[in-house]
Order: sequence, then C-alpha cells, then structure tokens
Amino acid sequence: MSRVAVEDLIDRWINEPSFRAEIRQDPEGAVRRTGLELTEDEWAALRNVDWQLSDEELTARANMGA
Amino acid sequence: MLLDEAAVGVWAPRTAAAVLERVDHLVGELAVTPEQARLLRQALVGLRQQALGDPTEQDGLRLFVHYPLLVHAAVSGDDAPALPLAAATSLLFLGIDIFDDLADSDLPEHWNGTPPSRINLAAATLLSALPQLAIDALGTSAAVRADLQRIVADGLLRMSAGQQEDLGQAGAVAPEPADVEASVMAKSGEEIAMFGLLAARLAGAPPRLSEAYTEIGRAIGVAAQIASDCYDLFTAARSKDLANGSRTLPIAFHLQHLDGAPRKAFLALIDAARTEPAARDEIRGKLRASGALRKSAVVVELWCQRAHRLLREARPLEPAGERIEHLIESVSFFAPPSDSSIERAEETACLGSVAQRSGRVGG
Repeated sequence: MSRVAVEDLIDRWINEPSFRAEIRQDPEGAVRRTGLELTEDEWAALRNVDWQLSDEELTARANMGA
Repeated sequence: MLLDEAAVGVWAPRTAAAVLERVDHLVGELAVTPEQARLLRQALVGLRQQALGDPTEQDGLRLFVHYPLLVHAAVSGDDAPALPLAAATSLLFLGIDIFDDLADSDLPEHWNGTPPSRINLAAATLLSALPQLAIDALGTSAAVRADLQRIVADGLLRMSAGQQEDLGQAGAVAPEPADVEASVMAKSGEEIAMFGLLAARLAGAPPRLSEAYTEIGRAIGVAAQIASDCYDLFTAARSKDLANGSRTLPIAFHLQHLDGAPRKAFLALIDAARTEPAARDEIRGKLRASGALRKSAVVVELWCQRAHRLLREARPLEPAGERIEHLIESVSFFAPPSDSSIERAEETACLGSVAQRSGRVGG
C-alpha cells in the first residue's frame, strides 16, 4: 500500500458515513473489502488506529514527539 | 547499570540530569577561554529546558538523550557506559536545534540580546568541536572511537544534504506530502538514525544489529517529527510553523486536494496566519474537517509500527527493549495511555492546571 492508498482510505472515512460505520465496527474486514494489499507494518498500523476517536480526541492526542 | 533502578518516569529525568551534568562538565573542561565557556553555557540553557522539559508528559523521554542509552542497554545489557555518548548526542542535537532556530528566526528567550553572530558561533562550536572531543574521551578502543567519529561526520553530511534539498523546496507553495515526508526523513530521521548507530557500535553490536538500531532510530525520528509538527499546528499555544508559513505534513495533505479558487484562498489564509490568530483557528478547523490531521496521525502510526517490528526482529535485551517500546508509543496518537501518565493526568487535573508544551523534537 502506498501513502496514496492510506490517504484514499481516510478520504473515504471522512466522506462516506457508511464506510465510517463499517470501519468502526470491523476495521480489518472493512479494509480487506477495499481490496488494498497491505504490508505487515501497514496492517499493524491500521489495526492500531482507533477509528472511534473524534477529531477533538485526536487533537488532544497530539504530542510533541519525545 | 541505571536502567533497573527505577520506573521509566524516574529513570528518564535522572539520566537526563546526569547527561546534563556531564555536558556542563565538558564545557568547563574544554572551553578555551572563560568567554567561550559563558557562551556555551548560555546555549546549554536551551538543552536543559528540552532535556528536562515538562515532567507531566511522556515520562520525560527525550530521543537525543534516551535513545542512545537504551540502544546501548538493548545490545550490551548496560546503559551506564553510554552516558558520555549521550552527552555527545545531546551536544549534536543542541547545535542542530540552534541552527534551526536561527534559520526560522525563532530563538528562545535565553538568547535575548545576544547578536546572531555569537549564537551562530555557539551552534558551530557545539556541532563541530565538543561532540568530537566527547567521543574522543570515551573509554573505548581507538578503532571504535575512530568509527564513531566517522559515523558523526557521515550523519552530519547526510543531514546537510537533506537540509540543502529542503532549502531548494523552500519556495514551493504547495509541496506534495511525499516530499514533506522525505524531507523529515532526511533531517530528523537521519539524526536519530545516527544516534542509534553510534550507540550500537559503542556497545559492540555486529553490523546487522547496528543497522537495525539505525533504522529503528530513523523510524522513531520521522514519527516523532511529524507528531511534533501536528502538536505545533493543533495544540501549541503559539504555532511556530504557522508563524513561519511552514508547510508541514497536515498542510501538504490539505493542499493536495485543493484546486482553483479554494486553493488560492487557503494559501492566502496560510499567509494571514503568520500574524492573525483568527486565521490560525480557521486553518485548524479546515485541516481537521478535511482529514489532514487523521492522515498525519496514520502516517505517524505507520512509522511507529515499522519501529516496533524492527525492534522485535532485533531481539533487544530487557528491560531496554520494553523502554524502547515505550519510547515508540510515546509518539503514537493511538497508544493506550500508560498507568503513570494516567496518574499524572489525574494529579494535573487536581491541581487545576493544563500542561502546555512547546518545543522541537529531538530529531
């Protein structure tokens, strides 16, 4: 998966309420159904993403990076 | 061995203080004149602020101090022999940081009233003399010391090339996200990669393991810088990047999908945000709504997961491995909060204060 594919995934999350609901319920299944081919690191990253977080909660998680 | 003594929230500030003490001692010992010592100690004020930072956040872990210590312990089982090396990496970090601040006209308060020519002199001395002498004083073989000196020279050369490329793109109105990420990799990534390689070689790691800790450092350095850029943009009381008109990753993600009039309007907004707080708020709102923050957070996670995988493959000795995991998680947007950070958050809430952080990443 390229960065462009990651961006497309997030764009769908932003623009398609049905995809947002789908990914919140079953993140791995929702991503698999897009047909994207992911590397081990990319799967690990997408599994670790908390899709339930609101924009405000995500902003609050911004850190200054150690 | 310092690592076994305490929890990370105690170990991190304690070792940072020990490294600062060593750096101060080096300045006292090596400065040629009292005036030079004074100038360098003025610079060390900035290092002290960044190394000790805000104790309510992130367990006080700082890449430029703690990553070399942890890599050494992950390879050899002991962090203590790497304290003098952490002094050298801290001096390198400080020199690079001062040059960055000079370039961005964003010098911290302790430089008030000091002419730029003197600040430039301090940064040049920190970068080109003290770390090399600190490495020369390490209690290891001449061959290892020569190897470490070569790693520093090579790392600085690579970072210089990255900076030169960055300067070439400085006039770019709307850089592509991939270009922004490549720039972060060439500077912050390269810096922490260099620190990892130095520590691994000092610990006697074979080439494959040295390469692993180099690449783990690169991944953490990139993740930390992008996370720091998001913090600057969305959370900091005053965004240095918006004040400078810098196009960091969230801005690049947002611009990527704009054409025509909306693109022109957003670029005008970025210009206005240099001076107008209302424009900054508007930018933050637009970036959140377009998913630019979320995309940036996922990119941070991709680099964090790469670092996690490489670390598992490197099979670090414990407890250093666990601490490096902790360091990686401290830059992720999605890592569960640690018990100690929950306790600190509760203490902060009890005191009725909100922790405000500012500053640059250690890479």
